[in-house]
Amino acid sequence: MIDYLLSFADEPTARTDAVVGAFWMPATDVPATWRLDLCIPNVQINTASTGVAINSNWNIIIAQLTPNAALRTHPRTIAWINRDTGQIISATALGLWRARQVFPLFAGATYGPSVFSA
Amino acid sequence: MSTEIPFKTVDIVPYSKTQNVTGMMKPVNLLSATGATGPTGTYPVIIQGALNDPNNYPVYAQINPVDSPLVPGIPTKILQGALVPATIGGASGQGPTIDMNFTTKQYLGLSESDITCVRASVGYAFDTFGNAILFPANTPRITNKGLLSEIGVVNLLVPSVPVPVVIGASAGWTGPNASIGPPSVPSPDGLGSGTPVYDSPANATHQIFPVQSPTMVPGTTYTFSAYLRPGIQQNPKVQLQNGAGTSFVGAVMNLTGAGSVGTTGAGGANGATLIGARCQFVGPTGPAPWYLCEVTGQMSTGANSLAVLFPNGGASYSGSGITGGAVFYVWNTQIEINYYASSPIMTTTGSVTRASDTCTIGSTGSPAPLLVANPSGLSIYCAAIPLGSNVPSANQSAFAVSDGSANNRMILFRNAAANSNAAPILLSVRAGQPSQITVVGGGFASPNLTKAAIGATGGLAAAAANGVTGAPLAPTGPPSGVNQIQLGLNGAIGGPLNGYVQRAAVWTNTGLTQNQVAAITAGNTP
Repeated sequence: MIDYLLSFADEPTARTDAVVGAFWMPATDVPATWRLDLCIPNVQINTASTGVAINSNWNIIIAQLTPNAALRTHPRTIAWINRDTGQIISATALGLWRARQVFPLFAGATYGPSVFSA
Repeated sequence: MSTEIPFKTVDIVPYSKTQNVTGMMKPVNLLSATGATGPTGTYPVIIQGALNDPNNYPVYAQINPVDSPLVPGIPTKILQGALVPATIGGASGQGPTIDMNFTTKQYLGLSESDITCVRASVGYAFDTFGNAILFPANTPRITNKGLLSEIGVVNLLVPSVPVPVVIGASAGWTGPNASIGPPSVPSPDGLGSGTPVYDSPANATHQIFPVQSPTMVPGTTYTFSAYLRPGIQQNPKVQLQNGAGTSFVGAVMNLTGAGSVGTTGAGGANGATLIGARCQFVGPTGPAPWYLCEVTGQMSTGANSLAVLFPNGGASYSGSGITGGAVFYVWNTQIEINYYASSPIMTTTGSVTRASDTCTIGSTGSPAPLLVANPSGLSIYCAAIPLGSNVPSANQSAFAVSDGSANNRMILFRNAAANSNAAPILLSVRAGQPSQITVVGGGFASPNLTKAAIGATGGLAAAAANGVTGAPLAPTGPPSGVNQIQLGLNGAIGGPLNGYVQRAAVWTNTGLTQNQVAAITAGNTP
């Protein structure tokens, strides 16, 4: 399982994104929602030492069973992680990610919230 | 026909509703084992026979175990062509084409392996013995309680199993006049993480709570839940409050028998609203049962949350100390934005999400077996147990057949807007046609079993829940283009059941009548 972490200026921007917007389900007889079988919306990215958000961005984790090229090459993707090994396959400016905490994560993820500080 | 059963010897006999089958069905070739011998061996059997039912009812192969299971607990998989108990359809009806009894793992027309499950996380489901069984990601959560389908939620409470806070640490549990021991008793997940809580000898209020305190949003519904086992006391208090204690919702739990709720309370200087409280026996039966205790409410003002567990109903008293024994034991605890306590989500160092369940059979490009794309008649049936006694925050979909959209589908669901504990709404849609049948009566009332069904043909759509019918409609026909089945959700992939689907069936080209849907939804068995 590959978890893609993407960061947008705000949630409406993510909903209208050509790639990520595909995971936003419009309202039918239930309210509109993200595909919660695959996504964790509103993920927090904090500085581990202070517990304060690194910025005001709106973040989302999207899980995929197999690599997703559209998500991998998306300009708003800041990291993708191999769920099974906990390995960060790639992260933008990895050095900046050290001492970060990301939560919540999917239950069963082998990496913890401090994966980026490893 | 492919069949896998955990019995050493079986009888295979023809079967129909009328038990009046002519012809013969017999094994004509028993091949050698192709897999490992023993309990898991594979023995292909070819069965031939010309069968006929004079009343034109479907004829099935009934497989009757003769021996006891070789290995207790091995799931029975009866696949295509096998029999599922014939209660669905009633005496005057005909049996379904597809019938899935998840509680017994008996499947007609389809097999469990036909189910595609998307859930990007692990997830627990309970069996009827009180065991919390962990399922890998993307695996349907099926136990003898049924197939569990839930919305995705975050457990904000860290760590979920109490551990004593270490000075200087940012996570752990603490509290005045109480202490937490190392895990010492069996827990529902079988890992022995039942954690004792001790009071102190002081004549005071005793309590424990986690030091991490996620912020609660005013007007948002939260549920705080804890799996508790009685120790020397049986009446803990479960309370969700802000750090200052000026807003709270709480309830005293009675950890005896089936479990019950005692005194409840809500308020404080800043105010709070109690939506509900619940104490449910989980299991196992015997001297050391676990209970799921939960309180649901809303805070009036934003505040940091504090999840508190009190011995002795929260009253001040002189404790007996560690030597007196644990006052109660704790396993998993949760704070979630939800109207009920969903299945366990374990946390250790940070909040954790359990993804929602999307269990489907077939898709637009790969239709579900046996479905008829444009049927002249179509009927569905579902027996389900919703979780949570409070008003759901969204419609709860139990079962649907559709084209993958909200435009063409037949769906059974609990309507949130109508708070339909007593009046579930059953929806049958065909584009451009009248869509809803409202059934007054019946009920999707947790934890009760709810049985609902719809039958539709050109000119008649009938629905019933728990034996009570609604006013019929007159569509031009059943939904068209159907190619998939949704378990515990609907055609638009939304509004999961938040409960266990025990049994689901489809008549792929038959529209059941008012009397038939009433008959098959009556009674107390799935």
